[in-house]
This record gives sequence, C-alpha cells and structure tokens, in this order.
Amino acid sequence: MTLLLIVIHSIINIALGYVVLYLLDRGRKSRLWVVEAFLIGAFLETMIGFVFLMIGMSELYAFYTTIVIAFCFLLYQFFISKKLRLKKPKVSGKLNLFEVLLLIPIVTKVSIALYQLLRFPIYFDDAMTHWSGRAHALYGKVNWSMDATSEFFLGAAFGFKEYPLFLVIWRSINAGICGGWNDVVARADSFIFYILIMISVYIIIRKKTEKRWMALAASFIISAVPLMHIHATSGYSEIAVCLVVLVIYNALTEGAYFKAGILTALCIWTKNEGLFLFFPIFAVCTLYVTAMDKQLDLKRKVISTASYCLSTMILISPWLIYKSMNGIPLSVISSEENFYHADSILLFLSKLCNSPSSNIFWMAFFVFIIIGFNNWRKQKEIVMGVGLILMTLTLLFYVFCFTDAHRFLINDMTAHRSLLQIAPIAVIVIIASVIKSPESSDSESKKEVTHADA
Amino acid sequence: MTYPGIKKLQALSKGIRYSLFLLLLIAAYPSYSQQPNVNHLLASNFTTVGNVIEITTPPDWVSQQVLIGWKRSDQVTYAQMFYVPRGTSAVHLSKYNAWSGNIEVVATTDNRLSAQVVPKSWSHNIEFFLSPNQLTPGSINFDLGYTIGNTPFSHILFGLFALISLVVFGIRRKEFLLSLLIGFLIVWGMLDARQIKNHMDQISLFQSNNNQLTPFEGFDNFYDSCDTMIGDETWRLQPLSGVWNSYAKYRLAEKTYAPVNKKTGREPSLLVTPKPNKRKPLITNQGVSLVRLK
Repeated sequence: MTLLLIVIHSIINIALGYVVLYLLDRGRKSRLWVVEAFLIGAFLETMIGFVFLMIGMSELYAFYTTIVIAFCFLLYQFFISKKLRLKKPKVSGKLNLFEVLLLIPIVTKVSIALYQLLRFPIYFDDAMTHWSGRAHALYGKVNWSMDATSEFFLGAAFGFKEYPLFLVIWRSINAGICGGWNDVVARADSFIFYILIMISVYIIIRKKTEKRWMALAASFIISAVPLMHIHATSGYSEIAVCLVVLVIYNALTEGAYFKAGILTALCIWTKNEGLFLFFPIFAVCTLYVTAMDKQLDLKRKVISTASYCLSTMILISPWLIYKSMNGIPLSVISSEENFYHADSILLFLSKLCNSPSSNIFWMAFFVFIIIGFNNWRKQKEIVMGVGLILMTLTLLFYVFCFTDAHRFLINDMTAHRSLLQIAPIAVIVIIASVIKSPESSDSESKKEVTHADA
Repeated sequence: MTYPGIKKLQALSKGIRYSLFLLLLIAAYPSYSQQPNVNHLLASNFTTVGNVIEITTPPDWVSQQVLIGWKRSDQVTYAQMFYVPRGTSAVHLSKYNAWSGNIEVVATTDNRLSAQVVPKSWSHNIEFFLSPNQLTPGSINFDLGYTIGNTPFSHILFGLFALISLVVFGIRRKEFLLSLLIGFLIVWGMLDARQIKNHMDQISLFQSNNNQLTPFEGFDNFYDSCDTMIGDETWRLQPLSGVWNSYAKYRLAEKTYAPVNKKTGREPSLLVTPKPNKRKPLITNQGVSLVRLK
C-alpha cells in the first residue's frame, strides 16, 4: 500500500512537472518528458515545501499545492483547451531471442530489488542518518527546527545539516501521504530512480540507434553495474544524482538549456556534489554544445548559456541564500587541505579500473572510447558525454587526491559511489562508440564510390 | 569490510594444551556488537599458503552467521562475520588481505563448531567462488567481488572479454566494435548471473534468519517497544557502537530527543544505553537496554 501511494504521489509530481514543461516547451516534447516531468515536479514540490517550512508551515501543504496546480491545469487542458489527449502507447513487435536474453536479467533484478525494498529493513548508515534519519525527524516534527540556534536545526541531531533537503522533504511528504513512517518510505525513491535510470538509458539509445536490442543491451549494462543494484533499495542519494545527471545530459543534447538549468538546480538540491562537481561541468558542456551549434548565432549562443546558468542559480537560490544567512557551510569536507597525497594516483586508478565495485566496467569504457574513437568523435553529444566523464574523473581525482576527502579514497567509502553517478553516461558512450556516425558512414561510402570510380 | 580494532586477541601457546587457551576478542566487532568473546579455538599454527580451513557443525545446526577471528604470527588480528551452513564447509577467508602468511590462531564465538586445516583443492576454489558475499554495512560503498583460485573474477572476465570479442570477430569478419560489444555483453552477463545468485543468497539468509539482517536482529521489536514506552516523554541515547547508533536514532526519530552534551532544555526521562549499570532495564536486546532515569 505504501508503495502504491508513493507511486500515486509520483504521478502527481509528473502532472506538476508536465505543467512546467508545457509552459516551457509549448508542445515540443522531449523523448524523456515523463522522467523530466517527474523530476521537475518533485523538485518544485520540495522547494515549495522548503519555503513553507521557512514560514512555519508543514511541508505537506506543498503536496496539496501540487495537486491543486497540476489538476487545475490538466483539467483546463483536457476539457477547455482540449490540447491534452490520451493516446494508446505504441507496442512494437515481438522480442527476438537475444532481446529476451537481455530482458530476463533486468526483470529478475527489478523483482529482487522490489522484494528487498518491501521486506528488508533499512540497513545502511547514511540512509539512517543524513537522508531518512532527518526525513523521519522532519516528519515527526519534535526533533526538527528551522531556527539556526537550535540543536535540531535542519535535523542536525540526526544527520548533517549541510546536506540538501530534496530527499528529506520528499520522503517526509511521502510519510504524510501514507499516514506514518516506515522503511519503505525511507527507501522507495531509490527504487523509482533505479527503474527510471534503466528506462531513460533505453529511450536515449533506442532513439539514437533505432535498434531495440542495443537499447535493451544498454539498460542491461547499467542494471548490472555491481554497486547499482544495492543502491536501488538503499535510500542513499547517489542513485538520485545518477538519474538527474543523465536527464540533464539528455536535455543539453536536445538544446533545452533552460530545462537543463532547472534539473541542475535539482541536482544541487539533491547532493552537494551537484554544486561543486556537476554545475561547473555542465556549464562547460553547455558552452561546448552552444559553440558547436551552427544554427545558433553568437547572440543566441550567449542567451542559451546564460539561460542555463541563470535558471540553475535562480531556482536553487532559496536554498543557497538560506544556507548563507544561517552560516551553514557549503560542504562538510574541509577545503583547507590542498596538497597532493603521496601515491594517490595509483590508488585512484586502482579504484577506477581494478575494483570489484565496478568490475571491468570502466576498463571496458576506456577500451571502447579508444577503439571507437572514429565513431564517436563526430557525434557532438557523445563528445560532450566523453568530456563530461573525463571532467568528472579529473575533479574527483582532485577531490580524492588533494583534499581532506583523501581518507574516503583510502577507506573505500565514497569513491565508488561517486563513480556510479556517471555510469549511465558511460553506457551511452559505449554504445555510441560502436555505431557508425552518419558522417563516418558518409565518408566510407564516398571512399567506396571513389574506389569504384577508379 | 574491515572491522578494525581487535584490541585483545591473546596469544595462544604453540601446540600445547589448547583447553587452557582463552582467546578474548574484546570489542572484536566494534562496528556492531557489544564485546563478544571469541574464545573457542578452531585451529592454530599453520600457513595460509595452499591451505584452507573447513568448519564442521553439529547435526542440529541452523545455518547462520558467526564471528571468526584470527591472529597472524606478525600479530595482525582480524575478525569478520561468516555464514556457516550445516555440515562441513570451507570458509572463504582468502578474500581478506589479513588472511595471509602464517596464522597463529583462529577462533570463534560458538563452541559447537570444530575445524580442520586441509590442503586447498579445486573443489574449494569452486565452493569459494559460489560462496555468498553477505550484506554488511560496508556493502553500500564497495563490492567485495569474487575470486577463482587466487585470481580476481574481474581479471578473468577481462581476459574472457578480449578472447570472446576476438572469437566473435573471427566468425563474423566485420565490425570489430560490434564484436567487442557482444564480447562485453557476454562477460557482463556472466558477472550479472553471479551477482543475481548473490542477491538470492542474501534473501535466502534473510528468510532463514527470521527476516532479520545482521547486526539488527531483534531491534525492530525492541525499538517498537521503546517507542511505546517512551510515549510523550523525552529520551536520550548513550552512544552505541557504529551503525547501532544510527539505527536507534532513526527508529526513534519521532520521539522527543535530548542529545548528550547539548543544551536543548530537554531533560530525558528514559535512556537507551549499552550500560544500564544499577538501573533496571525496561527492555533489552543484544546488550542495549531502555532504562528509566526519573
């Protein structure tokens, strides 16, 4: 029952997100519009919840506000403007044997994850403290305060107050909807994100290659990354960032800069890495994409980049200003330490390429981008994907080898989790490096013609 | 998962009167539990090279996790929970770095178990490869992986990846990258099959353990009772070890809490503590008690 109510809550979030997407895109639907609508809806709902908390109201009112906005708009669309029409989903042909073989392990893992979500108790430390510990405190009200002088400020007695509130507020709202707290509420979003990651990867690759087996292969690869499954029911935030990063990447490849900005704000609202790691990286990606877009003149290039950066900053500003006003540090990691820790390079490389946590995933990624260089170098969205991964690895290298976070590299605490966040992009790059880009196909056919002429 | 801090693994004498040995592993399992005594000797004085340790259970043994600790001749000590099924089975210790060189002593908490050191065979390699990596609080951060013999499974898969890709390319004679992708999908499928087996093993252990996960056995009911007993009063938590601390706070987050050493203006009426001292526990589980302060 809890899971059903959370799914209904998610659908209501999709409705709110649809309103925003409709106003933003005016019918230009993205291939991932349902996932985007869900994320944007949940983002706005929790941000409204945060504003309500600041003025002393319950965050649950944000849910009621969401219902009112979303359904008024949908009813208007359905009955008055008649622009909303329900269509039957397209059902493509029968699966062949290879596709069935790819689908079986995916379905098996989803079933196992569902069982673990419904039957296993909450188990991992950060979920019990920073994410669901604080969410439970917020839901219970007695151990939560918005007063910066209180020991319970932002649930500080239960977890780090420096950590953002997206999952905390969303879970608390879920508990309110379900009428009580339980371990499913504490972790259900992880399972939803897990499913959405596989679906998003499928849709992106299906669109790109127009081959169902390749799309299924991509979903299978991401579902089988060893650490991914355990995060599917853990209640941690990495899997949320993983999905959000994937959807931002997709929005940028579609030239939807404002939308990418909203999603980047959500990334910052989910985890501090969003601010320090992904916002600067995606800003560089935006510069690259706009620079490479020959249809945009200089003015449009500047406006596109600015719309990305400004939408991010404006939408996340309530949280950042609030943090600044109340003297909350931006991160729990000390920025004072800044020197190279001996032998870190080898240690970092060993975590990347010689660890059971990702097994041969990253090794295979490097094999594919080296051998498939000629295929992907002409696809600008894949060049952006490779750039995104290399920039992330560079920044992670800096964080783990030069700062206080070095201890997390030594004790295996966060390095693998950080790498997990960009794994879906790596899967897209792997598949894209296999397929021939239109340009390279053209040049090969030209060569063949030249040979024939000769 | 490394559990540092085996503070006191008393040296056992070499080859004489085992019945006198008392192996006290105080706080051997600091992340979880309250000072279990790892005082039942399993084996002593042998080398890990070419040898494995086999544990034999009594006929009425219910498959469960037990704590096994060991001390090397260079004084390095280590302890870890292991799943011990009924009958005789080899324990896969070689995946831990601390299991190397000469072992001075191996001991456990349960005196119903016996063990012998036997030469390592291929059947052990297969048994170890198929033995489950159980869930631990560290599972969220990294995967322990698998080995076949002394070779990590990932190395074997990478070799197979290259080999299968070449074979597929040899058969198809075109599109090397596609052959590479097929090779990758095949080895990734092998890994996934092993992972799925592991998830199933974890579920199976969970079910055989009365739907409980180590080290939280019994704590769901314990904190439900605490919740009822605390009611509208205020509670305080005296620090427990590791994840037990987080679990206690998480479960009682809706009850008015008074942190230790903080000026919150809240006076606790009840205390969750590992040391009830002279106070009479209202309820206890695994050494953690709820006591009334006033």
